[in-house]
Order: sequence, then structure tokens, then C-alpha cells
Amino acid sequence: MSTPYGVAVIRQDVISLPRLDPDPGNVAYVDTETTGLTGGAGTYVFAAAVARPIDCGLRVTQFFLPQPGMEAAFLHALREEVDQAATVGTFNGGSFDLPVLRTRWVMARMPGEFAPAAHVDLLTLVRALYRHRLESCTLRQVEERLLGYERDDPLPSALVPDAYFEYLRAGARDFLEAALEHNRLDVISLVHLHSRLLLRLRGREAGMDAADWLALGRHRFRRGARADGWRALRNATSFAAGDAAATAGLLITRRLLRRGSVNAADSLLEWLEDRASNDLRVSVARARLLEWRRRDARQALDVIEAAQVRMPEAAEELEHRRSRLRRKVQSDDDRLGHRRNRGQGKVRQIQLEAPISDGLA
Amino acid sequence: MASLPHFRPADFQGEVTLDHVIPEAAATFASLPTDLRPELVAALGRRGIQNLYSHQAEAYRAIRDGRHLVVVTPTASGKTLCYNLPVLQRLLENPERRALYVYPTKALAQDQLAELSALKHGLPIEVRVDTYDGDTPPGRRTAIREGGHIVMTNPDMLHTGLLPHHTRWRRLFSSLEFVVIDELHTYRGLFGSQVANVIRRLKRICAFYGSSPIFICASATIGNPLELAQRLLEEENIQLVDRNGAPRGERRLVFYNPPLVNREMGVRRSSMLEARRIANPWITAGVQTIVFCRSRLQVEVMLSYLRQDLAPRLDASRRVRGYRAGYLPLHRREIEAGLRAGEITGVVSTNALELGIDIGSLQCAVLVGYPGTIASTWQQLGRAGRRSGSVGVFVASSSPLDQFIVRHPEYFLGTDPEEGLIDPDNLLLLAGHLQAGLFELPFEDQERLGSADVQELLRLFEDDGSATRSAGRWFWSRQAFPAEEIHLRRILADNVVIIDTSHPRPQVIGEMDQFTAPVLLHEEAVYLHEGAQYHVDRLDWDEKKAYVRPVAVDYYTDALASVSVQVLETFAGPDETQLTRSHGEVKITSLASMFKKIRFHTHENIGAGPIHLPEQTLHTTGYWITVDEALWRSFGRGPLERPTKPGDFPGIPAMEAGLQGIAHSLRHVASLRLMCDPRDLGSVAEVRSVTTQLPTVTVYEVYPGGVGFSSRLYELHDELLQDAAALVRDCPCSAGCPSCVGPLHLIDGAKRACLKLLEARHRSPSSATALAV
Repeated sequence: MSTPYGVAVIRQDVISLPRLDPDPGNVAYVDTETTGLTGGAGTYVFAAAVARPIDCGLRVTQFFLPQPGMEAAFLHALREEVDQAATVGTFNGGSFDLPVLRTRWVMARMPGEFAPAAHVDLLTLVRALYRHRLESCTLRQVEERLLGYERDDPLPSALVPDAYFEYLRAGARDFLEAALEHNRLDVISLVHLHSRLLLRLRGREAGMDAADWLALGRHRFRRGARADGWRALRNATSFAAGDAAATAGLLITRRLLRRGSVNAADSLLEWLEDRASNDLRVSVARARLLEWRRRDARQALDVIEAAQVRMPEAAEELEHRRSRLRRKVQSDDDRLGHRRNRGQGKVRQIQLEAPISDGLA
Repeated sequence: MASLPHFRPADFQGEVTLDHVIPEAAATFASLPTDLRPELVAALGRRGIQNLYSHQAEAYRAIRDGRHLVVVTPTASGKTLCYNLPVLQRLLENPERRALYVYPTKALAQDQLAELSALKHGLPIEVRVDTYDGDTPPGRRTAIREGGHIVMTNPDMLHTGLLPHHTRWRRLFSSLEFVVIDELHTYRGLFGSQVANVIRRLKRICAFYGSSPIFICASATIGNPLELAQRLLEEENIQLVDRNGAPRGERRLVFYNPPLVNREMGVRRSSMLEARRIANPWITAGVQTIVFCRSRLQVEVMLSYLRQDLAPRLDASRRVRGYRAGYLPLHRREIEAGLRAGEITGVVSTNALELGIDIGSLQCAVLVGYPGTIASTWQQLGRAGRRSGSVGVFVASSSPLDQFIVRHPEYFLGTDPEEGLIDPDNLLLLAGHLQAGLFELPFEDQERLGSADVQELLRLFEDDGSATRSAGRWFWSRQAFPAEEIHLRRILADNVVIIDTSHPRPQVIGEMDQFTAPVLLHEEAVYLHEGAQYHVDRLDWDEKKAYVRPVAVDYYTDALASVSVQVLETFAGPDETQLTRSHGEVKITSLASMFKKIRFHTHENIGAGPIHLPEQTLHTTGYWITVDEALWRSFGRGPLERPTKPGDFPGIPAMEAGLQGIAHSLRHVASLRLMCDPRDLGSVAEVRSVTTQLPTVTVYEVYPGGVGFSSRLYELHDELLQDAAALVRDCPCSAGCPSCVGPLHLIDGAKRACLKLLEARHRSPSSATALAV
């Protein structure tokens, strides 16, 4: 392929692809192979693959740098292909592929900057949504666990740069071909992975458990999608057992309290305490709510004492809170008793009842 | 005279060999440059500056005329304004321009950051000044790359952080107008040769982005500032500004030789105790005084003395402070600030405070022992430089070098300071930086690295696969990151961390390099830190941790280390006959074997113990000469001959001293021939070497692995021996002195023995046997 900067070496094929659901849309997926992992001006991109969904399937274009002196043409051609799509999709491109390409752009004295309009880094999404299920978030691991796709890698990625250097030095093609094929398969995986991630993002994946919903909820909130986040946390909470459900419930409670819905928060915590009865955090949160929002130290004390009975192993951890609450209740009683003696007990009693009766759930 | 701090020689029993008053000098002012922006005039005015000193105006003019510059004026003469003023002026004219300031240490960059911040305050544009070094938080780095007008860094960070990642610094490099290289005198020897290559790489990157910065160097006293700058920058159009326009107060310079306590042994009263007697009255009277010691140990001992003297005062430990490597950076910053503010009256330091760290001008300086070079001596004396007058006292120790200097003050006053020498073209250094440069930018056909022709090296790289040729250019073709494989200075990794276990939560109080640790942190050592004594309970050598606890005892410990050389591989030699030459790979071993407990004040030996620590080794390359057995024996026929066992060499003190003399003189002439710093070489004389079984002198490179000096020394063998002989022969002394045979042994006949050994190769074996010591 000829470019204003000379000849660029590319290889293109179209592979059929079943209709993706959900459909990520007009995205160019990019993966690069580089001569090193340290970055810096001396690390260059010797191969790149771009996968772009088209009407009849997936168009995969591979770019190859036959020798370092032909970099300008290589970058120009790559840029043209990427610019066909509205968005660039990568796996760890935010911290690796794109910075390296930006560096190459400068090094090759290309005009302007290598700056795609929009970028979605699938690694970021995988980390947000699946980290709790994966030992590591490498693409290989993700393929196996999320896409159910295992492949033999004839060439470990640490040896990929050497495959290229061997080619430069001696024209050896075997390992290089393996590296290019590895690059091509990577970028095809990205297409499937994106669709799978969208399914999860929309909460449509079957068999999601509390931890999955919790991760999704947190991610949606971080991205400012509050309604979705709320729904996901609620789904997580509704599992009503386990750590993740309780964590989600506590996150909801915090948000409820922030907007002043004390009663709703209280009932949620009470409900959680009933179901997830062995989560210390729930009982403590409830006691705090009762003590500080409701000004009802006595009931808070009841909650803590009940928790100590339910969870003897945590009794000691709660002891400090319990004795503090107990002193507080004691001194409230003393003060009340004192006032009653002066004939003010009636007023106090009304005050006592007041917090309980206000704003029914 | 009335304004000078009080010092009466009559109060002391020793001998004052020099009492020299350098008269005060009035300031030479120049008016502010007419083109100076009014905002800057106002900013200067706020700091009380209405005029410039002549050297500042001269520097300003040269830079505005587009010339490179090297400014050499004493400490506290307003050197930084020489470059800050034209840089700020340029930034006001065009805020898009950029400047890079390079300081040899992180501490200096921090110090100058504060200085510049005060000056830029109130300027109409926000001049962003940042330090960029290993301590810069990752979150701030992007902002500095994009927006910093003035970036302050060190050569090491430039080498591994900025240059290899230059595309991220495009903003800086494409608008770079000034590169400031302060403390030029530190860039000599191996370090200087490395930095010269870093500057070559910097200039390549600037050229790539179309900038061509002006280099501004500032230096303390040095023999050859212009030549060093020319060699470091490889620029011709460099203007030297060395006429100091700053006023100088009257300075009194005293050389003091403590009284002899043992005439036969030539032992004098301790220079530490005498220095204490000199410094104490000043510190007590609130006169700011700095005491320079030669070692970390001395610093701590002196610190405890001076604090005891001040002890009735509750704030003694706050008013007298120590300052040396091994204290944590924050701690040092606090001491510097205390000195500037005048809250600290006395500071005891190693040469760590010799550099331009701003502690203001003190009134008195006491040097315990000779710092080793004339330049360092002036630098340390320069710490006392109050306008109202100051005193600097050099207190000589009993060592021969100190005695030579104190007895010959005219030598000190009449000799130019040492020259800073570098060799950027040393093949091994060049090859390393060529790889780093190749990583940073492809090399064009016929392109040079600075002035060095590197085409042949590039072809070698192609052969070993590090470089690939394509489209008339050379490209880096390995995975490695070459800059990380080059360390600009000999900093040994793996420091030993010192942990105080007396707190409920153990605290790290300092650290020490691995080579020194066996001597100061062995088990049972009394380690002194900021004047407090710590007993080393346990030294976990594998984990590099020393566990200490505070104690109060009346002694300190001093460890003995022996140094030996083992030849691992001989590359060439031995050849010739009587004085053979060889070069190859050697292992230098330093073994701390025992320590002594020495009582304070009386300095009597009150105990000793063994040290069980692994030897510290240095793998490097070396050049060695051996003395033929017959030649050695030939000197035995003299009045000093002793009966010896067969097969053993006569241990004649004069001969041993002569051998030591060869080691000393060879090392110095070798550094001259190699254009490197004497500190880049070490030398050892062994009467019987393990490897050669002969009397042997080894000159080795102190840089691990060596940088190729040894093979050059081997080639220079004849010249070296001639030079060394000339050095010893032409020295005006009669029986040997530190300038020729070295500081080690002032033994009768040492000079003659040394000279005879060196000249023996020109004589026939038969005539050599006729020689007698």
C-alpha cells in the first residue's frame, strides 16, 4: 500500500462474524507489538492489528514494519485505518499502546499528534467488573475465563521482540509469523470481549451473583450513571447473604443517609441484620444510625448486645462500643430521673418518643 | 581588625605557621541593565538590590549576546543571579521559552528552588519552577513536563528519566533556551566524563526538536574552568567571567600546628582537641562557626565534644549540630534552615557542606586536617565569609601530608587549585552512551556523538545485534533500556539501614553504604549519630540492617581494615625484566578484622575485639608492576640490611616506604596521563603479593569493572615510570614529602629508595646491584 511517506506493508482479510449482541458499534480495535516493554524513545511498534466490524463481518488489517526506516508510512497507514472508526478499543492501550504510538508519531516527525477521538480501554472495564473473579487480568486469562477460549501460544510474549530482531538480522520468518498471528488473534478477541463486557455493563448477563452486581454498581456510580448503579447495588443487596450483599447494602444505606432518608436506611439495615445476621459491619452501622440519627442510645445498645450474642467471636471487638453506649444510657437515665424528681418527666418523655414517631417509613 | 572574631596565637602552645590577612575588597557595582524589564527591576528592588555586581552584569550581557558562559566566583558572591536574571528576563519576554537547571545533587536543586521562588514572587506571569527527580510524585510529573518553565533536575535523572523519554518532554526540549550547569567543578574525573556524554545526548535531542540552548556553567574555585567547560560542553564560544565584583570582608587565614608531645615519634597533640579549643570559645560566644572534619566518625566525636563544652546550656544539642551523609534528607534541610536563620551557632560537617548548599555566611571556619586538595581547602575556608570579617583556621594533624602543608604555607598560597580533568572519549564510556543515544534517536550515517566519531562502534553494534541499519540510519535493536545500565557515579547500592530498637516502634535513623558499614556498624561498635552514642547490638548483613540502641559510654570504637589485591586474569604481561608490567582483572579486598575501643579525651586504647564480617570486594581492572627479586635484594646491601630467612625478602623500612612511594606517585602521574581524577584510581603497594610473589605495586580503577584505564596504563608503562621518577626527582624536598612519595611514611631514605627503584630499569642489572640505600 502506498502512502505519502512511501510503501506501507499491510495484510487484510475479512472474517465472518455472527451478529454481536450487544453490538459495540463503530469501533476500531487496535493491538500493537513492540520491541520492548519499557517504553521510551527507543521502543518502537513493529506490528499492529486493527479489527473493525463491517457489514458482512470483521475486517482485520495487519500492519508490519519491514525495517525501522519505513516507520512514517507504517504510522500513516495505521492512522488512516483507525480514523475510519469513531472510537478506538484497546486492551491496556491507555497506559501502553497509545503512549507508545504517540511517541512513535513524534519520532517519525509526523504532523500533529496521534490522538484518536475516543478511546475505550477494555482492561479498565475488565478490572472494574471482573477482578474479583480473576487471578490476573491478562488478556490470556480473560480469554480463558470470560470467553471460554483457550489457545496455544507458540511464542511467549517476552520473546516477541526477539522474533522481530531475528527477522531484521537474519530474515528469520518462523517466529515472526507466529508473533503476527498472535497479534491478529489478540485483536479479534478484543471484539468479542467488548461485546461480553457490554452485556455485563447492561446487567443482562445470566447468573450474576452479589459480588458481580456490587462491582457493576460501583463502576456505574464511578462513571456517573447513578440510576444504573443504584439498581445494581440493589440487586447485589437482594442476595441477602454474604459479604458482597452486605457491602452493597451498606453503600445504599450511606447514600440514603446522605439524602436524609433515615427511616429507609434504618429499615434496610434492620432487614439486612435479619438476613445477613453475621455481618458485624451491618450491626455497627445500625447502632450508629440509632445512636446519632435517632438519638436512641438504648436501642443502639440493644442492637450491639444482640450482635454480641449472635457473634460471640466478635463480642470483644464490640465491647468498647457497648460499654460506651451503656454509660450513655446510664447517664441519660440519671438525668431523666433527676428531672422527673423536679416534675419535668412528662416533657422529657415526650421528647423521648418524638424521634421514634417522626417521619414514618 | 576589631571586627574579626577573637583569635590570639599566644593562647595556644602550638606553632602558627601562617597568619595571613586577606584585605577586604570593596564591591564593584554595575548599574542594572537598561533592557531589564521593569517588573524584574521591581522584584530586585523588593529584595534590596539596586545595582548588580560587575560579574553579574558581565554575565547578563554575555548571555543576552547569545554566548555560552562559565562564571567562577567564590561562595556567596551572588552567582545564582548571574543565570536567574537573564533567564527570568527571557521568560518575561516570551513565556513560551524553557530552561533546564542541572545540579549535581537533589539537595542543591531543592535549595535553589526556594531561592528562585523568592525572586519570582510578584512577577506578572506565573513562572513555574519545579524540581524533577526521583522524589517527584508521579501525579505531578505530567504537569511539570507540560508546564514547567524552569525544570531543576540532576544529571542522573536527565540521563535515565528525561532523555530516554524525550517525546514526553517535547514541550521542554522544543523551546529549550537555557541549560544551567551549576557546581561545574563537581563534573570531573569519571563522573564528569559520564556527564559530558549525557550533555552530548542532550544536544542531540535539542537538535531533533530544533532548539539550540545557551549553556551557563557556574563553578567554585578550580584551576581550569574554561577548559573544563569547553571539554564538557564541546562549545567554542564560551565566555569566562571570573572577576568577582562582590565585596569581601577582611579574612584572616591561620595555619596552626599543634605542639609536639613526643619529639622522637613526631607525635603532636590531637588536632581534634586543639580544634575543639579553638572553636569552643566562638560557639560559646554565639559566633557562627563551622568545623570541617575528615570523616564521619570525627564529625560525631567533635560534635559530642562541642556539646559537652556547651552543656550547662539546656539548648546545647540544638545550637551545635552535625551534618554529614547518612542523615536523612529532611533532617539536613532543617539544619540548613537553622544555620541560615542563625538559630544554630555551630555545625560540624564532613565535606558534605563544601558544595553550594545555602547556609548563609558563617563567621569562623575550623578545618581539622587537610581536606586533600587546594580547591577543597579554599572551598571549606570560604564557608566563613561574613562581610564584617571572618577567620579560617587550618589545624594540622600529625600526618605527613598535613605536616607538609602546614610547614609550607607558601606552597598552599602559591599553587593554583587542581584542574578538573575529564575524558568523555574513553571507549567504554562512549560505547555505553552511544547505546543510550541510539535508543533515544537513530543515528544518521556519518553522525557523531558530540565530537566523537562513532561509526566504527555502530558497525560493532550491528555485528552484535544492538543496532540495525535501515534507510541510511542506525536504529537501536534490542529490548534493553541502555541508560539504566549506566550509573553516572559510583554509588553502591544496597545500603545498610540503621534501626534504633529502643522505641516501642523501631525507628530508622540513617543508612550507610555497604563498603563503609563493616568499619562503622560492626557488632559492638559504638555508632555515633548526631552526637548520640548507639551500641550496635546486631548487624544482619544479609538483610542489610543494623540494630542499635542508645547508650552512654566514655569510649568510641575504631575499626582497622586491610586492603589486598588478587589478580583474577592477566590480559597482558608480565614483560620487561626488573620492573615488569601487566594488566588484567583484579579483585580488591577490604577486610575489617578488628576494632579498638578508645577512651574519649585521653584517646587510650581500652579494649579490642574481632569483626566477623564478609570481606568487601571490588572487581575491577588494574595495572601492576613488580620488582624483580634480584633488584629488590640488591638494595638490601646497606647499613639497614637485616638477616633474613632464605626465600624471604628483606623487610627494610626504607624499601617498603619506597614501594609505597611508587604507588603514590604512579597513581598521580597516571591520572595526569589519563586526564582523569586521581580519585578514579586507587593504588596498593605490597611487599609480597599473593599473585606475583614479588614486591608489587597495583594501580586499579575504583569504578567496578573499570572503564578501560588499565590497558591504557599498560601501554603508557615507560612514560609513567619516567613521569613518576621525574616527579620524585624534581621535588624540592630533601627526603620525601606528600607531594612526591606520598603521605604514608616519612621514613629516612624513602625518597632515595623510591627513585632508585623507578630509575633501575634504565640501568644494567649489574649496576643496580651496586646501589645501596
